[in-house]
Amino acid sequence: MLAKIIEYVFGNFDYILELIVQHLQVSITAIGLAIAVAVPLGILLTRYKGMSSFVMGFVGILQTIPSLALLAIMIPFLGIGFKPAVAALFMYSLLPILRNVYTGLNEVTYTMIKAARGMGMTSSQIIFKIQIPIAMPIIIAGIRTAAVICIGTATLAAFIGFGGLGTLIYSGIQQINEVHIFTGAFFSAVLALGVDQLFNLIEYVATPKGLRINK
Amino acid sequence: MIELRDLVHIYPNGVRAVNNLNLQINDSEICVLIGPSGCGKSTTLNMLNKLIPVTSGEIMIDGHNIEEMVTTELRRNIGYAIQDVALFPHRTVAENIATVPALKRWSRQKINARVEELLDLMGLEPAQYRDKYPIQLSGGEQQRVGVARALGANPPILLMDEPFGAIDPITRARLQDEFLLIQEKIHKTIVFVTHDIHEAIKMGDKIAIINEGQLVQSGTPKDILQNPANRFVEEFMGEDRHMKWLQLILAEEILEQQNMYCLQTDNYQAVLEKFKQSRLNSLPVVNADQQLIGYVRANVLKNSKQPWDEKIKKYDEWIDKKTTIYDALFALMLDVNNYLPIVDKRGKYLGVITQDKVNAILADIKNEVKEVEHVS
Repeated sequence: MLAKIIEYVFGNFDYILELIVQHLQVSITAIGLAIAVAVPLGILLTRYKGMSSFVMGFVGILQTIPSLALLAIMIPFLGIGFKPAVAALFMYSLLPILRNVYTGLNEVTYTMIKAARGMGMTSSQIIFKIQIPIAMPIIIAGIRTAAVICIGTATLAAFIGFGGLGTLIYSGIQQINEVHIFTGAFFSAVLALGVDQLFNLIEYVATPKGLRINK
Repeated sequence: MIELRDLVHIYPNGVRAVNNLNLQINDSEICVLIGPSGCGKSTTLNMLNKLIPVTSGEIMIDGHNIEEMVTTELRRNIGYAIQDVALFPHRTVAENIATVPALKRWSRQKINARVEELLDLMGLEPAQYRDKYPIQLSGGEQQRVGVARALGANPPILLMDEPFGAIDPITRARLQDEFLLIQEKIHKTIVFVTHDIHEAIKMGDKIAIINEGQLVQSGTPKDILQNPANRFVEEFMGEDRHMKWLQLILAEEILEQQNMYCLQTDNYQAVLEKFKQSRLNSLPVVNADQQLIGYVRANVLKNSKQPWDEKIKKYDEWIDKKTTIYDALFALMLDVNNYLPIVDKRGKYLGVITQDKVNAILADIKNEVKEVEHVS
């Protein structure tokens, strides 16, 4: 079995690489869009706290829709392939990022913000020089969660006609080909773990030193 | 000079937190705002840097209404230190202190020089502390950095909202002493909020007692202790307000026996001679550098065949010349020698304060109080 998998992988290396690239493309695009929307939205919500439970609730509902169903719902609007896949993954990634941006920024105490304001910092200086650096580890942790979810869920995108490593699993199931299934599963797992590790590193680098060290 | 004229702040719920408050704070003085919690003292302080808006009335700084000043500019020219210190955890000590200078876009060189100067002023070795992070500092060190940060851009005015509130009493007393010494050098106009009457008496050139948003009385600590305006002030100063007069007297002001001490190198005869001249039953002993090393008792000396300097014992307590009599009282009353030796910052012996002298002062206070009560 293992020999067959290895043989398959080496025999179809270019094909597998193409699938990995597709897989990463759709995940990275979705995560990028989610960051672009959720980070500013999270900052905005700290200003308008009354809105936060409503917005969080809505984004939370998106999260509860089963992933396969969410992908399917996209088809009438966006057809099949790359676009609906990105849209669905984007919706999935919103909540972890938004939630962590919001909690991270709120983690910065009122007195600290009062001190910053009292010293003559403007509102945007307080956000960019105080709140975001302090919240950075929490924000990165949210992006990390979103990224791992994305990589996992992207395998399902094969069902709506998008490529990616899900293609191997999908075709394996249909053709009752264990080698395909295992190869697809193996590489998606490696990808998810790799992304997780990558974010470990990013988290370390992005965390200000003063928050990293112990006494 | 800061003038508060008919100052009013009304909360959205209609509560008049500050209600027609009038107060003048002169240049280079520490004005302590004190009162029970919820009296409006912190609200008043925060109106000075526009963290809380003025509902009506006006605040004038050197004749200019703060409403006419750009808010961020105003704040950058007023130092601000608060109880929780709230150092920025992601910034080093140097970066924290440089907060306002950086906002004012000072040059790197000028900022570095200023940070160094302030760390020195606070008694924190620059090389050792500059690159530390707040989490690596003790509570007392954080408070010092907090004050240094408030002084960052050398503002003429400093607002301090219970700056020494959140630390243990011993460290607090030390920080208070240090800060008074620093103020002697920097002469800032300081508005200082506290709820601790001891702190107010110790720190204040002027005390403003506030209740229900209004100024009840303002004056020097002595004025207020001697002539409380009404029952509220009397009660606020506490049952022992007469004892608090002792807070106004420093040890160095009632020194005795300045020249009555033994040198470690004195011979036996010389020591006996000194005892004859002194009315103390024990004498301080100092070394060649005038450093206090202990005391020797007369009765021990007389019955001894050993060299006298083997009978030197260490004092349980000795105090700095800037300590108030109030703070020294407990140690003084418990001391077996009936006096406490006083030293300067370097440990050099200066003299003693005696129980007799303090008793005499207390008797005076008692008489004065009787007179005052008799008159009223």
